[in-house]
Amino acid sequence: MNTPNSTALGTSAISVRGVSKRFGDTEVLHDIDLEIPHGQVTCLIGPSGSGKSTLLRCMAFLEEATTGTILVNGEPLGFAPGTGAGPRVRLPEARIREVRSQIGMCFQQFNLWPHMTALGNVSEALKTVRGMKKADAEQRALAQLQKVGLEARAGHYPSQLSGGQQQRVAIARALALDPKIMLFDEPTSSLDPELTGEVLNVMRALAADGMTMVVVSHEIGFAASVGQRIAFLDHGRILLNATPQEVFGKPRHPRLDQFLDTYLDRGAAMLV
Amino acid sequence: MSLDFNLIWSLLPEILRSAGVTLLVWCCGVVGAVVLGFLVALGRRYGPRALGYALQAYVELIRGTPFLIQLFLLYYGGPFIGLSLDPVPAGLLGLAVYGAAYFSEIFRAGFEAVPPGHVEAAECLGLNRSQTVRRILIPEMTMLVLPPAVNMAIILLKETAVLSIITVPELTFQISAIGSQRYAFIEAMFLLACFYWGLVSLCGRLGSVAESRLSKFRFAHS
Repeated sequence: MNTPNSTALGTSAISVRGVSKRFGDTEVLHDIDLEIPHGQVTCLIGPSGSGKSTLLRCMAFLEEATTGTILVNGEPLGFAPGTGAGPRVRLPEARIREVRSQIGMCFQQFNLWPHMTALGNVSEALKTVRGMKKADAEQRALAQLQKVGLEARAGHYPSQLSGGQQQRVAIARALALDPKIMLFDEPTSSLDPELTGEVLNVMRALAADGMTMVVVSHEIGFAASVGQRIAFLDHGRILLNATPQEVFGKPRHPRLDQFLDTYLDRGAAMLV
Repeated sequence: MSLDFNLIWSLLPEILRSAGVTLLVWCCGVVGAVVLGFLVALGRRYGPRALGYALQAYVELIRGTPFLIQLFLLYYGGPFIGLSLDPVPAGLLGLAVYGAAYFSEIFRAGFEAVPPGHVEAAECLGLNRSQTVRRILIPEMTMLVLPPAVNMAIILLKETAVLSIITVPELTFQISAIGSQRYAFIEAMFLLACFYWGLVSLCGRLGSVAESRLSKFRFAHS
């Protein structure tokens, strides 16, 4: 069950190399190595506090790894790759933004801006960041909303949308900028089961389109059916990183078994 | 002693002129205080640590001393450090510096009340810091800080009465002067109270209108 590394180094969509993250005295991530292959869905699963969300946030550069290097399509994210000698060098902000622009992020809390309509949320970065004209930006935003089935809600404010609709707008907002990689941080954790389905369907369609995705999720069923790679984290380490068949099939890693039992207890596991 | 309304009537033009001074000083003072206070809050949020400490010291100094004394020091003590100002500019500066300390705290709280995730979303989409402040933070916090900001503006309106000690010809200064000249203190103070009350009501009403207009931007997610 060691980490397979079929893709050559440097060609992965995201390469996480020797990343540790410390908050004060607590080490949340311990020397993580992870390759995110192009065009595949990688699911990060694990118990609360295992560090999966922190790892994802490091990939989005919302958290700065304490040590280690993250490459996005071979380009360093945030810091120049360390030579091991001397303090690491932070890249210029413009360069950081450029590398980050390949990444789209969706949050557990959606994080739509409440003072803008759905259309405003999706078109905002097209206008301010890409410098598109208002009409062009809105046309593109509307097309994105259409993809998530919400063109009829374009004029609604977030407070007028259900949680599932808000998350779909948030996905459209990220997709509008044409990211190469989409990161999802527990995208359905604050939704009730009925609304979870509509968000997962959008994500399934995205996966079917060949989008490179990294998904932190408690939806084991989704991970097992859509995920092509499963990484199981526990106490800041990757215990397993393999295909769903390998991870969920027998014989199973005892720690994973224990973790999955908590799902079986709630009758929520629908494994492969 | 009864109120002499004929006296009030005859003094009205003079009183209206001084009410105009009060309004002018107040409006300019509030605008100055809001702008300065916003810059202070920005400096404390994004500036280097040393600047943050300096701004914090400024806020504590201003909040820790009475406006009357600050104004006195500025107007009568200023010339000793080469700062000689006429009454109206001195009053404006004093009001702006005083109000800014309070507004900066309102804005600081406003910044902190915007969910960090809204800023992270902007960051992930490539908005730089000034775009995030202009497009996300300011609009989102406006609806949060509006009630305390209107409150502060009202307090500043009444604080303009203090400017009378440095001879700014505003309402309190003029009406007190009339009161002493004519021995008609009750009439003068009655009028004065009516004017301030009217102005404060107007200000409060404007605040309510703005609030109801912004109410549709409630946070979508609890």
